[in-house]
Amino acid sequence: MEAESDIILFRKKVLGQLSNDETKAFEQRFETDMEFQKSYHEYKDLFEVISVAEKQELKNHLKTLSEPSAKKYRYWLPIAATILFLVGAFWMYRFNAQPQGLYETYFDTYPNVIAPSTRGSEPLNVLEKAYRSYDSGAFEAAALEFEKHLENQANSEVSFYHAMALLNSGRLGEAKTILESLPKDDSDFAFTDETQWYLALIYLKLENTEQAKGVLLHLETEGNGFKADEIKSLLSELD
Amino acid sequence: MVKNEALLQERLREGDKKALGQLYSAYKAAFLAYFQERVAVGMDTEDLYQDSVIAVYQNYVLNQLQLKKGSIKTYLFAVGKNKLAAKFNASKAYVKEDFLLSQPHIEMDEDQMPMEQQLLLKEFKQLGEKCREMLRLHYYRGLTDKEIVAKTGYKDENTIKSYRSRCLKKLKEAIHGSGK
Repeated sequence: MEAESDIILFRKKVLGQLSNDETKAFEQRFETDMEFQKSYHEYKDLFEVISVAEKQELKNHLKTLSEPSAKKYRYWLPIAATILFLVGAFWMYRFNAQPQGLYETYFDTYPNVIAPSTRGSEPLNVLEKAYRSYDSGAFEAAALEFEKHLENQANSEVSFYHAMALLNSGRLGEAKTILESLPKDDSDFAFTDETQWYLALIYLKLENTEQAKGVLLHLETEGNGFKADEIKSLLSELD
Repeated sequence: MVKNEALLQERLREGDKKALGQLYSAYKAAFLAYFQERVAVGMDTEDLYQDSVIAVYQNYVLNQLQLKKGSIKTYLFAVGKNKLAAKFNASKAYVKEDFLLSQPHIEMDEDQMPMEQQLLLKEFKQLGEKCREMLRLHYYRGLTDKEIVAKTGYKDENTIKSYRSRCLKKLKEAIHGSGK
């Protein structure tokens, strides 16, 4: 494996940060030292490929932040508002009486943004299978496969999808236990807001309105924008 | 507007995904309003916005960007204009030198990569999550093994090194296998 000093050089080179002198030295070595040349190509390839993979993953992540509010609801909003207005009083009464009804209204399946299935390639391990089952809507199978994977290694993101698979299978209690165990505020965990959002919905379904409100209020002020519109309207319905 | 921009920038350099979400929602409305007026009807400005935010974010993570002047918003809009200009093959970018992204890889897309890299990408995505993360921290984030130990809680630097070698080996074997 390469020396740490070479890695620093490779890093600077791929980022275009070598000084003139460093560039000269780099090129000289590159031409004479085959091992150095090979190591650099490997570093550069992996750097570029992982940058693209990261870019694709970030794009999926941003899409989940914006889709429900911006596109899907744009044309339906006026119609929905009219209907809500017409039957407002009746619904308000029902919602207040049955907060669990809001669960069905607001619940949607969280998309797989971790490992979108690549068509045609055979799944290699149980985790790949789990995500594939999840993608195809086979949530019971996905739940089992996620659980199997987690027996060997704990991971918050995988646990989140395990909970999502359970939730989509109607196993709210188990999903709740998992979601409650996930980090509330950790920059390394990608789904903190998502976790809290689904917990709030579960609390509503379990008629624990106050707890749901607490979570939603926290999300409204501290959240990163995930489901921001839904959080606002859900809070107003709960008031 | 973002209340504490210095803090947000610090978190972006750290690769904080929540900071990315904050950045994304903070300027979305303003960006879309600005660009919708300036592009042809039917162009997906939301897509342009997402790509611009990602380019900004990756530049913070990879280059540990420190803005010498101007705000994140100015920078983000400049990136958007650059992307738009590139899209229409405009002869010159609208943007001042300070703002130009000097890293061509950021603009790289899967369909522009040579076949070997596309294969590498495919096999990388098939790796287990832990291997992907291990390679990501080293090759993409550019963290030293010492920093990776601190971040992941693995035993020591040697463990990291040997784990990474195993992941690389796995990746190479997979490529070798599918190349046949």
